Amino acid sequence: MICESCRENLATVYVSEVLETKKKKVMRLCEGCARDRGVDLPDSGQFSVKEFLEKAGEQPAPERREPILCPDCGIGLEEFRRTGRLGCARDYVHFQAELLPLLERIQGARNHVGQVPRLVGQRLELEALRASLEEAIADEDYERAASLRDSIQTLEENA
Amino acid sequence: MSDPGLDLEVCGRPVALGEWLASSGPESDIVMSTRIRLARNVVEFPFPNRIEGDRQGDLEQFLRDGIASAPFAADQSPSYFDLDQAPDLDRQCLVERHLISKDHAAARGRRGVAIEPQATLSIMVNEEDHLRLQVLRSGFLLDEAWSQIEAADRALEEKLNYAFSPDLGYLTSCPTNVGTGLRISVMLHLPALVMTKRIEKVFHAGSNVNLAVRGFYGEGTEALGDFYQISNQVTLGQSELGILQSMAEQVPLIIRYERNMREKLISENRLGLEDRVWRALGLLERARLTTSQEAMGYLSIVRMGIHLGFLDSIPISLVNELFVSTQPGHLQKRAGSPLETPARDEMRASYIRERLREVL
Repeated sequence: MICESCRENLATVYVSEVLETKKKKVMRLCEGCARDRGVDLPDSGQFSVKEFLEKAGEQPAPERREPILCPDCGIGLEEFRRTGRLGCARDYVHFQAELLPLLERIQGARNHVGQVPRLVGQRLELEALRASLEEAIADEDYERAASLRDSIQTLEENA
Repeated sequence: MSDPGLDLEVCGRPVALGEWLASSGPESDIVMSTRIRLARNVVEFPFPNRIEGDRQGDLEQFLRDGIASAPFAADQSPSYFDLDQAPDLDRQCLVERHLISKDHAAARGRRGVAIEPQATLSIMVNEEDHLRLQVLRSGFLLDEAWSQIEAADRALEEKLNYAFSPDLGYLTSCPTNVGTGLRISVMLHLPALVMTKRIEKVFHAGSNVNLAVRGFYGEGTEALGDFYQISNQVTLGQSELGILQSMAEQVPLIIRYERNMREKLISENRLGLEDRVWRALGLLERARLTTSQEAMGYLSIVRMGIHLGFLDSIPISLVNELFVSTQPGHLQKRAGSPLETPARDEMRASYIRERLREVL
């Protein structure tokens, strides 16, 4: 179904207007045209990173004057806003303050809960075990500490 | 009996037909294919959009070496196709086979695709992300497709150091893929929902559960051949299994809806529906000029007619294959040279007639 207003996009919103004659007029619109008519839509699935960033860019930029560029890949937020693409994996660290709210908006979350590469998983497990070991020693729980040390040793040997 | 119009060689090496056209998978009367893709990057290089010149070649070689040395299962070991060297038509055919994206075909520079012998697993190199793994299977086959891609991912991980953060997961060029990097897309054939004008309801239902539904073929809003693709939107904050689960719950609802509408169409006007199917077949059997759009429309109705038992001598795989072999890239590849639109329409019509004559 094509939007009855712009005749370009797919209509995904049904708007019924109650006319003066008390008759209802139903229009099938795309999200853009529906919004233009002041319809308040919930978060759409078809989220555009570019659009969001452009809007974010319209707000007066706070403290920063000089464009901040990633020291690894040289990309800046301006370019990211324009293209919707980051330049390297470290951008997620450099631009964390800007990216986290964006992720929250487009993904509805800011934390990964899925799979972990095997080696990273091992490293994380080791780190957690070492932290527990320190805790156990501080608590003078030597039995637990010994068992933790064994687990750490086994993991290190397997790595 | 495979379609000679689907013999494909890229850079002089054959590419298998692809299981997804066989209609051998579960629910394949309605589910054409299940596709799963994973976006992956390595830590040693910036993302492809920030790489130019020699570095792009270095990155391609680095990834190629990683793929070549990764411990894939013996039957899953892929061969590499250098897309920078491949002719335009070969790249177009790979798009029509769903083995590479349109963007990857149209891009410039050092890039490629590794394809496993059965062409169910492919790995795009230097696309938007360093690696885009894809598994494409016939029918509704989530678990098997997932196991297959997970095994390939684990094999690559032995040789490549993925860009990963414990907080944000697999790091990708576009923040819409960060986290699992997982996109599941199920391609559905929904002619009865289109005929009964209920397809918008499917769009609505999808968006309520964070799944996107869109027409598969055609530009913009057109859904040629009544094919729709349903895919997950969110890649962060949901586990891979959670995403698989939500697909496993939602897709059967759409399948049931389509089946109900097919039954409704038959019970209300069986003769009218049969007439549509036979007319579509008649046009395919007789027409002298057939546009791509017409071919898709008629083939779609014939495909449904076969599944409803109206036509019994046409194998479903033939119809599925014609959806691909009548696309511009495959027609021109068969002709051996670029063809203008009128010549393509003529060739398409005669090719369809020829293929149908073999079974009718």
